[in-house]
Amino acid sequence: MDTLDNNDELRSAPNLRAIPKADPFVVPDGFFERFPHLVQQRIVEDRARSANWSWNLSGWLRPAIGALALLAVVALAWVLWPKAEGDVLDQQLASYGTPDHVSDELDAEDVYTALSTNDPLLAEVDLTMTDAELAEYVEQEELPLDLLIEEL
Amino acid sequence: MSDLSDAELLALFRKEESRHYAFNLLVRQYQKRLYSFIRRTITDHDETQDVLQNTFIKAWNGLDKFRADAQLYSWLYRIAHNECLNHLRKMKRGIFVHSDTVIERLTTTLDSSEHFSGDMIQKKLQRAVMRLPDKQRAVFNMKYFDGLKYEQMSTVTGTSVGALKSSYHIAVKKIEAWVTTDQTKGPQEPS
Repeated sequence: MDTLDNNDELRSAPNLRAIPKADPFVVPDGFFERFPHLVQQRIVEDRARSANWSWNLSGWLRPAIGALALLAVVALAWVLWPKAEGDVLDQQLASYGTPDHVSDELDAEDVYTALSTNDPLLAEVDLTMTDAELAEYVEQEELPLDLLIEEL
Repeated sequence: MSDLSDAELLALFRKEESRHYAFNLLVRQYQKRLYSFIRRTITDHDETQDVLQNTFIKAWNGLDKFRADAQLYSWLYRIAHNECLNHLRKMKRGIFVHSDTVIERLTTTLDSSEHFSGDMIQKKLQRAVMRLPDKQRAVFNMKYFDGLKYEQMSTVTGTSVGALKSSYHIAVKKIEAWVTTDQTKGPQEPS
């Protein structure tokens, strides 16, 4: 007991000091004999409860939770991936836009002419197509067939 | 059987075959002191039993990590102190009203002779203690009733010794004033 400290503090509290120190709360008979058993019982119950919980998890619940988590990840990727890719492509295309001074000065016809010259780089490219490739190209480009026949 | 030292209890607890036995001894060794501390804070026996049980369950779960250089009693006291504060917090949330109602509920026990054996002056003292704020009440109980040293109280509450001295000093002044007022009023309860 730290009575010395208490006395110091209580010197200025004569009425409080005059009250005898007692423990006036009633404890039910036999409580302290029973209580250690209650604690042990609770420890055992808690352990059984946590064991049950882990058994449930190790049974069918654990794979089910795993499968659900995997599904969630796949669904998330499914929803987010195309959008993310589209966003990136849009951004890249925007960054590759033709500078104004170039687009103002270039004419489509000039470009066409330049490309049709005997450029050694172009000469290396094989531009021949099979009939099937040509038909597919015409269909894709939606070229007017009459003009094509005239060309040929 | 005489009480075992902290080191002896811990050594027994760390052996798997004597774990439960050691903890049983620990509960028997400290239950009365912790019960008194909790009961003075909570007042109701059933609620005290719940808080005391939670205290020992937490001790059981944490005893493996307990550092042997600390005092077992201070550590248990600290758990009990935190459990008391948590219980009072829940009580206030549950009642959802002014703190006076909580004090009223806590002091109800004092009116029942089944739960309280003190005379009128003891009842007045307990009522005065109940009027202190939760943390200050805990400080007063630790110092006045349990005779803990300020250094021990500092370990228990995590508060500096200086702050604890101030808190206890203020608590004593308040209680002295309330008890004095009560005595001049006669058998009336403090307002």
